[in-house]
Amino acid sequence: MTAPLKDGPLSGLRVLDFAWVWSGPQVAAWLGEFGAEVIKIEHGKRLDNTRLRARPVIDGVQAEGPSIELHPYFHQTNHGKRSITLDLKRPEAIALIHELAKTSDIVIENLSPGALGRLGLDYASLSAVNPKIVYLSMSALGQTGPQADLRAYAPIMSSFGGIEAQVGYPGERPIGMMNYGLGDPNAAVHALLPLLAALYRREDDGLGCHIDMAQIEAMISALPEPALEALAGGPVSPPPGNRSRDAAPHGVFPAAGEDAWVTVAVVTDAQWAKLAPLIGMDEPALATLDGRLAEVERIEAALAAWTSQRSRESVSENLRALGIASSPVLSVAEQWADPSLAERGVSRQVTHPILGPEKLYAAPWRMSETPPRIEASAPLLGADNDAVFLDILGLDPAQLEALKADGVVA
Amino acid sequence: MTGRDTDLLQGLRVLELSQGVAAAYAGKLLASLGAAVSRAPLPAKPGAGLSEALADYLHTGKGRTDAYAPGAFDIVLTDVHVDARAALGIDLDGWRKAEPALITGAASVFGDTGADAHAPAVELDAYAKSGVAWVIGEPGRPPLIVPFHHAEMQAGAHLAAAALMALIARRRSGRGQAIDIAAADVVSAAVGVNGMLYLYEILQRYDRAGRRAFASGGPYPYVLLPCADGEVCLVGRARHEWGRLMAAMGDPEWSKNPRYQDLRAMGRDYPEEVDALIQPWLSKHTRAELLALAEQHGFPIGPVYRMEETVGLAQFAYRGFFAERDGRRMPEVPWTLTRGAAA
Repeated sequence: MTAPLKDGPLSGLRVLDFAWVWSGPQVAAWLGEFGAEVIKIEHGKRLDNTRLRARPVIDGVQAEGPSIELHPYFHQTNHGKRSITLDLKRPEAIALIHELAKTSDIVIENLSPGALGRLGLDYASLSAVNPKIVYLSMSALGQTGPQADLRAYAPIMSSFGGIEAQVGYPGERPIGMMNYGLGDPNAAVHALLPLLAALYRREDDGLGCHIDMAQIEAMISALPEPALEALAGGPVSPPPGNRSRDAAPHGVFPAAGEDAWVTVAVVTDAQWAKLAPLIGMDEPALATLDGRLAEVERIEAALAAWTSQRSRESVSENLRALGIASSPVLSVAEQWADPSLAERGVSRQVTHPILGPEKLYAAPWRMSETPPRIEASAPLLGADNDAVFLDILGLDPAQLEALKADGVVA
Repeated sequence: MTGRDTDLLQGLRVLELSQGVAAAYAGKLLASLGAAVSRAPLPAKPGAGLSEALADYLHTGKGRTDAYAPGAFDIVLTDVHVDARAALGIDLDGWRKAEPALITGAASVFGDTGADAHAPAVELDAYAKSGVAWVIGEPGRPPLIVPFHHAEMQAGAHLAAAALMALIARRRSGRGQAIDIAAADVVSAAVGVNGMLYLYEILQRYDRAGRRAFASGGPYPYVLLPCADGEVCLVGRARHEWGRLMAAMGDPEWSKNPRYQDLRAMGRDYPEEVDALIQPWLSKHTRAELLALAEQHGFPIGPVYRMEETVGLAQFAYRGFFAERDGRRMPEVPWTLTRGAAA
């Protein structure tokens, strides 16, 4: 079978997105980049808290317009979606979702275990109206277990999962990575795997499924070495900082200028033979990895003295020319301005109907035939009520007006 | 059927040409979903840092093969640097030209295209280019990375997901395609989302801040603090969460001071001052006591566990997350799956 894929490999699939904040909404946004129709179910009085961020400031000026529509963070995790508003505490709203589920393919939620079940929107309920539904739940610790109800933001998940304790300067108390928010994007990509595999298999046998994805488990799965050490009964290695047991030197070093840094990583003895004379350490005892690991602090001090006299760009260019890995350490603001992200298709320019032009991240995949596409920013709250309730569900305008007046569509 | 191992990808044939972590993790994930993944031997990449335990974890459930063979595979995965492939006999473009339905996927630090594609690179460079290193560590001290190959593992997970998307596309078009994943792109997109919270708000900056998010990332608190037997992670994003924390503390008198009503000002301008007010109460309680209080009062707090503690938690035992494979205990995939009608 051959067919054009101009609308994306997931065209024709419909996603009901009950998820909030980052991890779950990001999964749904990625599906949209490949052609799925994603309907975000919202409520005007219980908003996704990423709609409630501070009013964005651009070039020193606060953006104008309704605050709940403006924040690029919300736009990032909800781009390309439709938005409908329903009061899910009303049975009429649940009935409407059940009707939508009959023509939907995927449900995504990242709420506390049992929250949607209490509303009649769990897998059992929706698979009863559509056995082909692929239903993704992605809570912190999964749907089962004695601590399944843990209230967790990303750093709480990484703390609980033993990950925060792995980040720090060598020989010091761990410092963690509170700034990074690693748990959400890590969970999002891991959730895609069983979801896409289930969609693939469903084309053969027509069976839906429930995926119970645990975000903390995903963090451990993707950073397994400390867990492997602990499970083997041995001591867990302390935080290595930027060092490696397989390369020396391997770290981040000061460059000339305020708060300027550059990486250097020597992974072979041949590379060291080129670096050593530059930093005055052309010593036979350091010719091997074991020799360098034994003297790593002395090497780092000499290397830092050399790099700190040069710009980060100069260090990087000179060492790369010698075949040694080295990069300037960019700030996130510099990363945003780096044209190579746009060249590789990771950052995309879109226009939000109120905020105007903005840059969003696409799925960071270069694909020759079906690249990810961002065709629109995030929807305005309830922007698609008419399209969904009238065109998809076939309500007549008077019915919809009555539902609005009654607070069901709200 | 409910379980972690599934047969969703039964019949799918994957060739893994890995020298490091990324393609090996992608292969592991596809194998866990039922694909037949075969590894062809390649020399290890210098500095790759694969311990025996990590290699066991990455390669469990896979088979072996000698090399690529036309028609033998649906997907070929590699993490060999674009400039090193020819010397190892890896010709992704040529194989795809001969087999238009073949899906090829490569993961590397900077990707196969772009200004840095041909530069020597290790995972550290992905953290540097993305801005991730910039935001981890103490102000004024060297930026830090997430250790233990995490960026490469992330790139591997994205490689596997992109391969599945290509597989779905192939069902419709009959054509394979080339996939190119850069660890630098992956972690750039990850940290950049959080960056929007900082760079578009009043702070206009996103810098290292030690054991808290920079300026608390908005409302107070967002911080690691000591307690009686270790540390806890204290995070609140909403006023009701702050109110519940104060209730758990017995609504101390200071909490009624107007200075401690504006959570954004507290988070941005004087978080250490508020830390000092909370600290005596935290110091009286163990992590377990604080977790119990959090459950009772409904505010978010997380014990900072050492990995030795994490692997012994009843939650993971209940879910069977750590299991023995090929003679070694290891983490399973982070999902269970129930197919068909709900139980």
